[in-house]
Amino acid sequence: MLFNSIEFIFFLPLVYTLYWFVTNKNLKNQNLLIVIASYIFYGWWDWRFLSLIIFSTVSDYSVGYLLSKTDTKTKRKFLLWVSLLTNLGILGFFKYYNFFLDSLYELMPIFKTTLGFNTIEIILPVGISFYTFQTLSYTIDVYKQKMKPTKDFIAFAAFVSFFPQLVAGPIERASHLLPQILKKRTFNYEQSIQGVRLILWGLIKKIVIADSLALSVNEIFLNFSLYSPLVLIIGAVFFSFQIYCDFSGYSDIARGLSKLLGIELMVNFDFPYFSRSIGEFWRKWHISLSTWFRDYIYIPIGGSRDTTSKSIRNIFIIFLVSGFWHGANWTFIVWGGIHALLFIPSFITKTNRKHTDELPKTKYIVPSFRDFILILRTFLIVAVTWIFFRASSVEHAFDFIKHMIDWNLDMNFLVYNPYDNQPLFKEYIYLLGFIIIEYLIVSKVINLFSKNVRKGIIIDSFMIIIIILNSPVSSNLSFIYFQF
Amino acid sequence: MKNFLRYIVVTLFFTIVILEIVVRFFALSSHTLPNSIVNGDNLHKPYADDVYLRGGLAEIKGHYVINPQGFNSLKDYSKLPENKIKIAIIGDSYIEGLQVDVEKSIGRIIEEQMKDTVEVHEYGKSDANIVDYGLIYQKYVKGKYDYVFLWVTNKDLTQKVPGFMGRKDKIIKTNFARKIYQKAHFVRYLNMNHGIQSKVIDIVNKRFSPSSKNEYNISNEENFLKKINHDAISSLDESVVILYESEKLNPLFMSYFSFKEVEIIHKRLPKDFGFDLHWNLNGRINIAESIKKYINDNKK
Repeated sequence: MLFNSIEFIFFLPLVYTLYWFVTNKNLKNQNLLIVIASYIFYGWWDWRFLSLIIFSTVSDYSVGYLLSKTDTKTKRKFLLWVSLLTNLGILGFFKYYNFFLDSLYELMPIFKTTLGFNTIEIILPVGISFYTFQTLSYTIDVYKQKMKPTKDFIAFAAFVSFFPQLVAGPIERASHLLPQILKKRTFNYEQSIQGVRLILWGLIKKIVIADSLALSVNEIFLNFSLYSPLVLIIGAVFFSFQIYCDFSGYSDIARGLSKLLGIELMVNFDFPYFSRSIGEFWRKWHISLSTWFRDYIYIPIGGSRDTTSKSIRNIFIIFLVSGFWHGANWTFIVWGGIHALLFIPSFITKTNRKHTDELPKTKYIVPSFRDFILILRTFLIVAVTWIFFRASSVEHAFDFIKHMIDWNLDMNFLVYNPYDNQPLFKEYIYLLGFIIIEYLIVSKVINLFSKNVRKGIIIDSFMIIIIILNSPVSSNLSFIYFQF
Repeated sequence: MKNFLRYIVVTLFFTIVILEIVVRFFALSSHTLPNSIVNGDNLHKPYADDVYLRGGLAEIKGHYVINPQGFNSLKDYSKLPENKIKIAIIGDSYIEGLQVDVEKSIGRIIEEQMKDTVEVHEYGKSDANIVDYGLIYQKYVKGKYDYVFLWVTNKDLTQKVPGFMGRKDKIIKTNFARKIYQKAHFVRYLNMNHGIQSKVIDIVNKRFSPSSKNEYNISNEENFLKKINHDAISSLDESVVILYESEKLNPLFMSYFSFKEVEIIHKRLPKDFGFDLHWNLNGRINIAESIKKYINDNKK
């Protein structure tokens, strides 16, 4: 079920009513409702894949329970490996089986041999990377004795399948989400108002910005050789905002829905396009995944505590794994590798922790000229790396960049959407408006969570109207990150 | 909780008021296309003349004119010219063409492209199916035209009940709820521009009605021959030329029946609106060109 679908308009009020008016007296019933609602939400796509979530839930609950019963180091290690192999095995099969096989096929001629296996048609279950990492965080934390395992199976099932963030995050830590599920929730007026506003803001990002840019982006990336370098630059910039608005929009909706249910999720995006360096960008982009990799891979393999060369190796590993997490395609690995190369110079010169202060640094609303240039530079670098993320293959990405720098002064396409031949005014206006609003939020001129009731009603109504006016007639467009 | 619910109710009320004002001020919602019983069939009200709007910002905008026979066309079908090639096109909303100006319908494009040597009559109505096609052919078309083209898709072929031919029962009666619906622009906007009603029906059909799931499952030969409406197809004859898109019509249809055929090839990119090849001018031009080529290749 999509957040931006008709089904969800019926689903949410029903769940909300049952949650606060029917099951609110009993925590177990409320958690059971979360599980049932989450399974319906997920099963709406394909009920068969519910079996994977249920299997993952049962296996990690069992591993957590058994870990609590033993102090023997080898037994504990064995149990951890059981969880890792089960979860990563399922993920590996559904997401990477064909990729590995295809890559092996390409290597075979070098060794003058052939493979006895064929690729098979595998449907990738929606959000598998997200919930797999979420359950893994539980087992690892229990293994490291950072948290106690829960005995409440229903609460654990609710933690694994919590519908607001099940298919595209934020990837919650068990230590953050599970205690909230285990504790009785009380209704909070302000939290609920914030929830509504976050949902609407997320829908604006998704429907008004991401979906309206999607048409142009798809066409430009598909037929890039037909367009001028200027259009290709616009395509790369548009995609940068499309993916940001699509993904952070989902995270906002997820956080907003959770707030409505009295649960707080972590902030996943902290205005990453106002970053002044790559280091700052990675502290602000997909925070739940970056911190997951930091805590469960980067630090365990040594982090930055070892020699510089080993630290650089660790950085490379973390970025490549991050790229690979996004999908079984070399484009994602190259994307991760490029970000590692961009990040390492600042790591060596120890400037990667720079820019931890807030914007703007001047007494005016606008940033200083120096900050503006740094923001622009970082954004353009990130936009170029997104080309690899969006392209269908590494060759496609390089061809796209080659056409992009094959500069000529063909300005004709600037004002026309190459997909439908209509002027691009709407997309430009929306994008400009969005950047200004985001900046005003960053610089605290606008408070998205204004406590003034009248102001709140006007803001929320305005957002609903903008969403309605800009919703496409066609079937609902899915969120990009579902595929990961 | 009370305060929160009050907040939601006030916000929704305020939203509805503002939406009503915005929709009225920017003329984003069209009037309901009036229907009428014409010759016993549920068609559009003759001589209606207005603008059809769809999409959030009314991206789809088409001028329509209903002819005396109840179809969206500038032509009066009772007058058939002697000195021109006479062409009839039968189909659903694709042929009805409310999404583009009636001045740019498939028929007018063909006439323009063939330098007014032909006269085209479009018998298109949304929700039409193979039963309607058979009845239209028998009642309005048979023996009157030099060429008859019929637009067919898989889902039309399985229907057993006509969508509008002879359907006096489907005439919308004016009651209190209907009057409110007509007055409240925002309701019409949500329902017509965003297709809320049809989306809900789709969900119900997909999720809760097992029969509708199987309706389109006619990919294998056995199912296909079992599901399609042979009686309705038999009311057509060999003079009918089937107009189709390969991805929307099972190839078994053409091999099982001995109709002549014209495949529509979408050579041009959609120009007016991106999401559907049909609902734009280029989609119409693609059909017109396919028909023109057939006529030129098969001159009588």
